[in-house]
Amino acid sequence: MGTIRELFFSWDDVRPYIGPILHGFWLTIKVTFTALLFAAAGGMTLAVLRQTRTGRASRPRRVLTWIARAVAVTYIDLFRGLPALLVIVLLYVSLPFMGVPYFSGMGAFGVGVLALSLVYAAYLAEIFRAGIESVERGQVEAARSLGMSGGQTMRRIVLPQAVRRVVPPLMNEFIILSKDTSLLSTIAVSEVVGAARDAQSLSLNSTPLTAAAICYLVFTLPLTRLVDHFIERDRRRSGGGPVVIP
Amino acid sequence: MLLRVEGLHKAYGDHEVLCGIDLAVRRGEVVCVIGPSGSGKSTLLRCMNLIEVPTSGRVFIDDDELTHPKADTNALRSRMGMVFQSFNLFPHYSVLDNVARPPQIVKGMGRAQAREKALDLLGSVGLSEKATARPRALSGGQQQRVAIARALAMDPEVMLFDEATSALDPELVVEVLAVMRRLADAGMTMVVVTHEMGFAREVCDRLVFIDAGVVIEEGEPAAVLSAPTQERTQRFLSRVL
Repeated sequence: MGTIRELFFSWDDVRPYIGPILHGFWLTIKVTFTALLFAAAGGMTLAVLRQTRTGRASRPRRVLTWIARAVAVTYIDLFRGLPALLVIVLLYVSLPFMGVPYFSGMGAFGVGVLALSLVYAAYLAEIFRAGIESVERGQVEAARSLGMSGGQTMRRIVLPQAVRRVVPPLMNEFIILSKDTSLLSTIAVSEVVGAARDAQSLSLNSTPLTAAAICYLVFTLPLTRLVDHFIERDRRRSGGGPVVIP
Repeated sequence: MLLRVEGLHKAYGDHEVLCGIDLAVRRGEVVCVIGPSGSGKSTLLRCMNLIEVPTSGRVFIDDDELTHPKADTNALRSRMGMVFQSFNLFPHYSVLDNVARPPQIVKGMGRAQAREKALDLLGSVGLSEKATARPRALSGGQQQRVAIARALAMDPEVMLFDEATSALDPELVVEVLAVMRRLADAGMTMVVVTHEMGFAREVCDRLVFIDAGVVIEEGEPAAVLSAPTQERTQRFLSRVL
C-alpha cells in the first residue's frame, strides 16, 4: 500500500506542477467546447445536405442538390474512416506549408481545434441524420400542406424534434470528444494529459497523472449522469418502462 | 370551379392507383369521396395538394395550375387546408402555437395577431381552455379538432379531409364530425374522404364513389346511397350500410 500511495497519491510530488496541469485542464475545456461548436454546426449542415430531396425542382437545382448530397456523403465516409490522431498530425505538419495565409499562421491550438472539428462533424452528422429520419413523415406532410417550404419545414418542424431526440447520443459524443482532446498533446498543445505527462517525466512520479484523471472525472462524471437522466426522462415520456418485468 | 382535377394518374412502379380521374368542385360545395380501401381515394386527395406527386394529369385551384412546372407550390398549397387521419400535430409546439405559428412562418403574420386569431379558432372548435396544453395531452378527438383549427388558420379556400375520423374511437368521432358539419354549414368548400355514410348522406352536396382508381358513380348523396346505378357501387354499399 505504501508504494501505491507514494507512486500515485504523493501530494509533494505534484505540487510544483499543479499550475501547468490546471492550465492544461482549462485548455482541454476550451478545445472541447470550441470543437463541439464547430462540429455541431458542421454536422448539422452535413446531415441536412444529406437529407435534401427534390421532387419537382428545376433541373439546375436538382443537379446542385445531387452534388451537395454527394459531397456530404463523401465527407462523412472519409472522416468517419480516419483516426482522429492521423488527421491531427496530418494537418499539423502540412497546413503551415499550404501557403493559405490564415492556415499558415495557425498555432497548434487552432490546428487541433480544426482537426477535431472536422472529424467530429462527421460523427455528429450521422447522429443528426438518425434524428431527422426518426421524425414521422406525417410531420413533413402536415407542414408542407400548410404551405411551408422545404427549408421552413426542416428548420421549424423537423430539426427541433430531431435535436431533442438525439440529446443523449450527442452528449455521449461530447464526452468522447473531451477525451480525444488528449490527442493534441502529440502536437505540443499542453492540454491536461500532456501537461501531466511532462510533470510525470520531470518528477519521476505518477501523481500528476492521477491529478489529470481527477480533472477529467470532474468534467465527465456530471455529464454521464446527465445523459442517464435524459435517457430516463425520454423513456418515461415515451411510456417505456424497465426492461425486466418482475 | 374552385378545385379541378383533370386526367389524374398515379402509379407506384407498375401498380396503378389512380387511372385517370376527373373531378371538379364548385365554391361552397361539399364533396364526399367514398370507396373500398385501396380504391385510391386517399391518394386522390393527397394528389390534390401535391403531397403526392401525380404521374400525369393536372390540378387547378381557381385558374392556377398546381401541377405546372413553374407553379409556386407552397403558395398554392396554403390556399388548401388538409386534415389527416393521424392528426399530425406538431408535438414540440403547444396547442396554441400549432395554430398560431404556421401563419407567422408562411405568411409573416404578426405574432399578436396570429395568436389572437388562433384563440378565436380554438374557441370555435371548443378548445380554448386547452391552448397552453401539449398536443399529446389531448384525446384523439381533441387533437383532430386542433388540426382542423390549424388548417383554418391559413384561411384556406378549400379544406381536404383525409379519413379525418378513421383513427378515432366511436364516441370521439361525433365531436369531430360536428365541427366538420358546422364548417360545411358556414359555406366552406370541402372534399371529404370518409367511411361515415351518415355524414355523407346528411352533409355533402355530391357523393363520388371510386373503385380501382376510377370514378364509378357520382351524384346526389341520397340518390347514390339509396339507388346506386352501378353494380360495383351496389356491392360496396351492401357491405358498408
